[in-house]
Amino acid sequence: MRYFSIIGYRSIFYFLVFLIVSHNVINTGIFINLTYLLSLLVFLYSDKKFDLSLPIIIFFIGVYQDILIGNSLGYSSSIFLFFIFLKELVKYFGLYDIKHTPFITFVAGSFSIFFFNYIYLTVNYQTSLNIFYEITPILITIILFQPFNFIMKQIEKMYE
Amino acid sequence: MRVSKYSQYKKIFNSRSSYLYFLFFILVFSIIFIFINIKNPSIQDTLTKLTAEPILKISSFVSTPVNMASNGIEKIIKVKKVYDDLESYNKEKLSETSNFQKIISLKMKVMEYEKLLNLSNDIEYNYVTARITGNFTDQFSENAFINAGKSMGLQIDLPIIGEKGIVGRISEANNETSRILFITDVSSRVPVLISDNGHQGILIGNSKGSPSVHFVNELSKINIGDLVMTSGKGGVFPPFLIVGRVISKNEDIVEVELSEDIDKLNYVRALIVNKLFD
Repeated sequence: MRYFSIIGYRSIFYFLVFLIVSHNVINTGIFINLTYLLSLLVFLYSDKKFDLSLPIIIFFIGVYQDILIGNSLGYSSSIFLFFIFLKELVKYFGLYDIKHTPFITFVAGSFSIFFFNYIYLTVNYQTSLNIFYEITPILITIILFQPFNFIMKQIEKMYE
Repeated sequence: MRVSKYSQYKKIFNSRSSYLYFLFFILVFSIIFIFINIKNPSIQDTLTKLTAEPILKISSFVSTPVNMASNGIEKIIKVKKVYDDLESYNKEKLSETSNFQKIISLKMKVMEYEKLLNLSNDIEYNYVTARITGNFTDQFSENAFINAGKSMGLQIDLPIIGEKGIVGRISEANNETSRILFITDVSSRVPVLISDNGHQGILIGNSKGSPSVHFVNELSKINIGDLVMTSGKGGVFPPFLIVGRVISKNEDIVEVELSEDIDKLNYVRALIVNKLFD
């Protein structure tokens, strides 16, 4: 029974991620960035076991998103995997259970990805990007951290 | 007792440090994968061509309920707008009539002048109207899928226009679908003319918001509100298609407000140009 409940939680997570990626065909406007929202979801997903299938499936979901959006293949996968890696790294040093550490880690991760992207695009395409439009989706994702965290924990409790 | 291979791997990775190494490996692989695709775009092109259409179908199917809801809300807003427009149209009907007469007389004058100057015929276009089936507003890329492709005569680099002006060009043509690269995308470059004096520049997308015109020579002679049109250079966009208006300028860049609101587009037209223009 316990085995099935774990599968249920995992299935819900994968289904949710797949659903959100598929909704890239809907124009969500300039304030919501589905890649960042997915990164948040991936970051908050907690699997008690070291499941090898998670990074592999996330990699393929990222490739699926890249084909839909038209990004270089591997771009979304790298972002998602970066957040999983960041989380595991913090857990490895035993810091994850300290209050506010997950939030600070996520914020730091988001901003480092944003600055890397921003510098790469500014240098590579020699274009002046509007910082307001670029930073707003990140701020909105950060604001959504606590509500998403709460929802994910509730779902996790249901399947424990 | 027989142990499956998967269970054996699981045992090996059943510690945090091993799992961390595995994650790091797959993350590095993913980053290398990006660079391979950038260095060898043919790999990405082949993969995308093979998978784009079925993946788009899956994605459209999964997102149908939300799409329907959002379309419904949009339609209600549109009906309200049509009602308001109708009311204001009724009020302005009289002045519109005189404006129409002015436009006709101006057009007649232009035709006369063209005859006198012995100008060559205008470029002729054919249109293919298509619906936007997927609009991707990623952080740094701006593109969309339309439900028309090679079977309808579309090909890479055909210009795409909306009701009020150009919106982009075709960057990928499949049999039944095509991908549009919007002029707001960071990788988009459009040669343009600014104002009646025809100052030339290159319109460069900057993700969301208003694209900017770079490499303009006489910036001081450009005024806020000047019209921005395609110049026809480069062979992709025909000349004199409206792009937008100048909204601001600084040291070496002119910022342009597009005539077309790309985020609200539902239908677009692909221009099939019958005559070379450059």
